[in-house]
Amino acid sequence: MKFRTIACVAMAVLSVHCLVFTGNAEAQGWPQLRGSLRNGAAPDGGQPLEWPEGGATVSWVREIGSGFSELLVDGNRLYTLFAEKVDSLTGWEYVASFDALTGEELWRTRLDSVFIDVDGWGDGPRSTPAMDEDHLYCFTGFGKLAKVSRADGTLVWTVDFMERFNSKLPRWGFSSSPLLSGGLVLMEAGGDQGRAFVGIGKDKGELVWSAGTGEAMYSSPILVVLDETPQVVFVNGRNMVSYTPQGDSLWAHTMPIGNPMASPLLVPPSRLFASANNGAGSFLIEPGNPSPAELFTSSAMKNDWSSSVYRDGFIYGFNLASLQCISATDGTRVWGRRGFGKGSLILVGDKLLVLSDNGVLSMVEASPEGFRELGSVHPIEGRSWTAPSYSDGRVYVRNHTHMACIELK
Amino acid sequence: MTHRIKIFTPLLFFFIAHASLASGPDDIIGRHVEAMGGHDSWQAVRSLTLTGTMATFSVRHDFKTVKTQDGKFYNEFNIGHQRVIEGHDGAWSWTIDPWQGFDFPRRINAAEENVFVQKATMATPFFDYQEKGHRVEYLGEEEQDGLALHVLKLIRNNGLEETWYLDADTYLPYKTISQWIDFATPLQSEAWYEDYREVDGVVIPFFTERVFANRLWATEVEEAVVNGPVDHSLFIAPACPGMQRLAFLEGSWHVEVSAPNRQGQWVTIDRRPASFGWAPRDVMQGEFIYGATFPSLHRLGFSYHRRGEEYQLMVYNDFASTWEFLQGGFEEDVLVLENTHSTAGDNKTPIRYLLTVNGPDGFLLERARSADQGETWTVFERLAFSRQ
Repeated sequence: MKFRTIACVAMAVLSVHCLVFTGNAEAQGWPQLRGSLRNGAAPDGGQPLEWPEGGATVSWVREIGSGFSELLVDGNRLYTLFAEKVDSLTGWEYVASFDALTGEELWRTRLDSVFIDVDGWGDGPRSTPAMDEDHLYCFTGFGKLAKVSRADGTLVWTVDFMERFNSKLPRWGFSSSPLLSGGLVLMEAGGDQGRAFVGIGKDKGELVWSAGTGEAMYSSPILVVLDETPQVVFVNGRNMVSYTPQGDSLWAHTMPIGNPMASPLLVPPSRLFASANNGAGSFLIEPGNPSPAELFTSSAMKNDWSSSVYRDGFIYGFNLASLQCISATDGTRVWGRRGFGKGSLILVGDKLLVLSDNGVLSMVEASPEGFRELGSVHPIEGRSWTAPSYSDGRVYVRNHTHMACIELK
Repeated sequence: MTHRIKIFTPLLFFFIAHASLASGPDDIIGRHVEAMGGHDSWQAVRSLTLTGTMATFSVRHDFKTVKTQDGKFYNEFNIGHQRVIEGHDGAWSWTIDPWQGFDFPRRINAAEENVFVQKATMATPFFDYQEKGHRVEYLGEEEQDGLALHVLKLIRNNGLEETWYLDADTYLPYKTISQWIDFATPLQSEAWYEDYREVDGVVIPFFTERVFANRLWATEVEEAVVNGPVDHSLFIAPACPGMQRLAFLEGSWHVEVSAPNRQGQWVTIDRRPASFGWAPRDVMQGEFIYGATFPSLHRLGFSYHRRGEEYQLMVYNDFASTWEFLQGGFEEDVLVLENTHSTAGDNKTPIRYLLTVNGPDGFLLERARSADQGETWTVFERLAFSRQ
């Protein structure tokens, strides 16, 4: 047992270190929510991204069912979740694979009944799958975790969180995205009896560990190495909690915000930033003991559903509807720009790729010197709340009706 | 020489800036009103109609706003998938807000009234602000987003305060902070204004972004029409769908009253003027006097019970000093109302009113009674209305 634990820790350290310190994320494509490192960033491979002369090319636009899942990318394959309704009250949620060069659907697997949003903001899955070499791990709007084959979509196992952990269906459906570490799928389950956070075995779908209290909300955990300790950081309610990937509690912090939808963000080397559209707005902590110190709180960044990114001492994100740059040292506002609605963004090298809530993709300098837009293209129309994905010079965007590929090289 | 310029230039700007402050906010307001097109141009604006798109919850829908110089206001937009309509007819302000579950006009509350005042402001609120009873305080200069801004506190004549940030270069509004509402509850909002364009001599922001709580409303004007044709019926709250069927009653009428004589023959017993009107919007009230020997006032009030999906009629007779309360609905084209199911009023004698429409300019109201608890009815009075 001890050997297994040590081996798991070693593997986790190795895998996170590989991703963080070798800069090899580009080879990984976009394998999970917010990319390889779950920080919304992708390296540019040493070749700074430029807006193409004459404008970016929209290689293809394809219809897709409703859903908020990001598009996973691995080479010439895309994967995502979506829903198709049969009538006004019924339908299904699917995981599907697409040809990244054409957008053509290669296979689809039905996972669950469609989650219908009573508020009308959008039906279907909210969560983004995570993939390893051979499989995808998908979480449906009604809380079924499913493992399927990447090759052909064969279903391997499913775990129904509402049935298994007595998880309560959140108002807008289960939204947390799976996080892979070693042989585990780490999930915010929102179950009862100390099962708010769980580690599920990748092979068989068995419960390996569980901990914590609180209902499932809309944020997703991140995997970071702090003080050479790999750890998974969850947020729910007013709690930010850290566990080893094997489920041992490390530290906890009572946040000055409640139920953030945005993911926590690592501010290298050892600080964590989180933001929500309530309370203090955002804060930075330096974990290192059981009660981490709060370095700043800032009302200059209030993330709604889209998460922020970090570059060279500054945090870029959406302060509700204003694209904003704040200091990662003290949280002060550096600049802001309106006009994107409640957009989303990712970082590629030294550029921000910003998707407006109406589907306009813009390239913006990630610089504290001020807002500078380098170019824009409008590949999809209508409510676009899913952040872009990036791999090898291509940006992939989606909304509830369409997905598109934009060539930047 | 170069050194002198270097020293004197900042001093010059300093004195110019202080000179403008020394004259109080009125100098800034004067420049602001001028930047918005000027006093005379706004004075000539009798109506302003704005159309375009408005995004709420990241979904864009058409909107239409109509404002008049005398304070009337109409606004039609979407919150999410729900079409919201609001208006002010000069007397009362109303909204139809299915977003809050109301698909009929309702009276707005005090917090909403304040938002209406902001929305209905035709020009900048600083236009003739003293005559309107507003007060202004200059709060100084501030830099935001790389812009130097004059900050003004506006205290409206209703006592509510707003903070206005005017671009120190153009004197056009850059941002405001004011009270707004969400689900009829007051809260603070911030709004940013861009894309100013001149339309018939007045300057209007064509893009506005408003944030309150975690909500975002982005408005893009596509067309602004100054002094165009205005449909004044827009400002009046529409009757609920049930009462719209009785809207034809509004107006002045002649009523001819007939009743059977002792031989059972119908004879005319009186001719009188009568009138019907909305009081308030969802009650159609009529009043007339008849009776040659013992004239009595009859006051009728029709309403529609939304939940019960039935018509209701209250009839007051000042001779008998009685109220009758009747309920019912349309049977084909005849509105049949009875007091047989009612526990209110004088229902010892079952009474029935039958209202039959005879085209746009006439209707017949028949009164009947029953001696067998509503099994059979005998008409004892006919009131034939013809439009004056």
